[in-house]
Amino acid sequence: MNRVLSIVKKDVTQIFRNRFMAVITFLAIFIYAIVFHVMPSKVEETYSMGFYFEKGREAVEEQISEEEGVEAVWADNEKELKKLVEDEDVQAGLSFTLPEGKPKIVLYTSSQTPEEIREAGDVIAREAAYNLSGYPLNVAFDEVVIGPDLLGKQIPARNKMRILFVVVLLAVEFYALGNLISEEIRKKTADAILVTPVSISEFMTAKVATGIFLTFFEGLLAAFLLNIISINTVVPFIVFLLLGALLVVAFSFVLGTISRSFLGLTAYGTLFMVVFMGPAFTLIFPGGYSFWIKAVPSYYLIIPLDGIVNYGYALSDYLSEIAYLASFDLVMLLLGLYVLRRRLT
Amino acid sequence: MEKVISAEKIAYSYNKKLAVDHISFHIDKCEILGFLGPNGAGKTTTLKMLIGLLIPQDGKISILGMDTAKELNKIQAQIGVCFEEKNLYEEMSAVENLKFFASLFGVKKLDVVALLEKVNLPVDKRQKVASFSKGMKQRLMMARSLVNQPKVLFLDEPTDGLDPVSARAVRDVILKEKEKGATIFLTTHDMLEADKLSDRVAFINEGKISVIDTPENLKHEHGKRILKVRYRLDGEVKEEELSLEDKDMSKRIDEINSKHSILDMHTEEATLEDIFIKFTGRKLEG
Repeated sequence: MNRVLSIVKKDVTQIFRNRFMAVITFLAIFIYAIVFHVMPSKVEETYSMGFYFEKGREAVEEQISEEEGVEAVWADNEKELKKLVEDEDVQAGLSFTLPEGKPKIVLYTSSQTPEEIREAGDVIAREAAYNLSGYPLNVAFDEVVIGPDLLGKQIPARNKMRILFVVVLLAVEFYALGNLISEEIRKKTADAILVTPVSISEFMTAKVATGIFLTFFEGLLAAFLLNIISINTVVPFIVFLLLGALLVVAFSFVLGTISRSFLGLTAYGTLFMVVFMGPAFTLIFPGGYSFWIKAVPSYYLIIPLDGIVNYGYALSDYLSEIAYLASFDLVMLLLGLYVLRRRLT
Repeated sequence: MEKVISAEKIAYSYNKKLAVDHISFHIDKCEILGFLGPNGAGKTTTLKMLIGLLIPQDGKISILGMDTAKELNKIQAQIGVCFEEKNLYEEMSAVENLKFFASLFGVKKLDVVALLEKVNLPVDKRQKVASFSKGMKQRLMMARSLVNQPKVLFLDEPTDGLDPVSARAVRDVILKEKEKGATIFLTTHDMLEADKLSDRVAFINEGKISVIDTPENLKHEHGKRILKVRYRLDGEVKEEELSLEDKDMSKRIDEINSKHSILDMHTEEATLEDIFIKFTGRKLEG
């Protein structure tokens, strides 16, 4: 046990003596924290819309002003409405005129207006038209939210991104630990250790311990700085962070063993990193991913982390993900240990 | 004599090519065995089998009376290894390197200063090994191999590429360890070093040991002892080699002396390299 601890202590010292690794690790954590705190903490859910009514403004003004989530700006003429849209004072503008006695509704949007805003404006315009005509649609309308109702408490982009940050941090640890193992093999320092009473099993145990220790505590530090930890999230977050750390260790064993130079380490490391981080992009671009993403082990780390941290799901909601991830960890770790043992002997 | 290291018909092959071909040898207590051979002869593979980095594919190795296949960890606790590669932790200082390896041996009180002084290395707790010269690194390697006060030392090319001062410092340490009772396995392709340090030398070539004996015996039995005489003949310097075993040698010297002016004469012994070439047909450097 003392020998394992000695190696862990040496490994940690060695990793942080490597200025590049130390800088990218801690710089990354603090830059992520700064980016997180600089980004907006709330989602802008109010839809600002300009209105111009040639006639009948009084009939709808009260109703529109009471509409939840719509901030109405009233224009006195069509030219003024266009100016409001052009200057981006409003996201869209609705004009109701009566040329030749026939009602005409025009929706003004700028070229920068997103598609969903245009569609929302279109809906508001139609609803207003039905009201103006005195014939509201004879349809019962009800709204039911499946899952957590995020009305008024939308997840800000920065909260989604912090999961990505944590995953990037774990991926950086591939390099640190992979580089450590690769150097031990390339520079034959592993040989120097293995001719002492240290067995191969003790050597590999030390590397696993170093990897988990570093990954876990860096992950925890990032979690504190990114406001991830709360009473509700602490236990499930730690469970998934530990499983994630084990996955990182397993990957880095393979990476460190197969890399015969720093260039090789960088090339293989990038490949591992892209695959590992793939599922994290589904958080930023939901719906835009292929079925194969579920074959990536980190999917079962990232999706539950997002659910727990951002949506308040409990650990019990992700038991199958834990089972998948633990199985992947075990398989990958056995593979990593096998290739490393082969290389050392 | 107590046999500290004993190898019986050990063999190892890489991709079906025999690197070490069923060799046998032993080393007695307090003895230095020089393992001589050119690059690729099988020296390092033999060393790796002895220290437990490779498992012999055939044969048996016993060190300090223990079988390496069964009690490797116990053996490794009592040996010191100085590798040919400078496999030190370069981001750490000499003191940190030594303390780390001492901790692996369970050595709690290591006198780092004394150890560094022993190998003639200045003590600087902050200087990283990365900034050391080749000679300093080699002396630190030597110090590292001594952290556990080993009974058996394995030294792989310990003076290779060193300046004369560093080489001498390393040789002095080797001889002091021998005096203290250590048994030493020394691989080298430097025949002068082997001659100076070894009690016996083994010639290895293409995985096989050609001969094992003391350097003196080898030179005596297999070398040619000659007397070189230089004299002046018609204004030109001539040189003649006379065998010391030749009965008519004195007669020939008298003859030269009577007719010519002898400039100088001296005896010359065969070198280990000459004998190595005689046995293997190869040069040590190659």
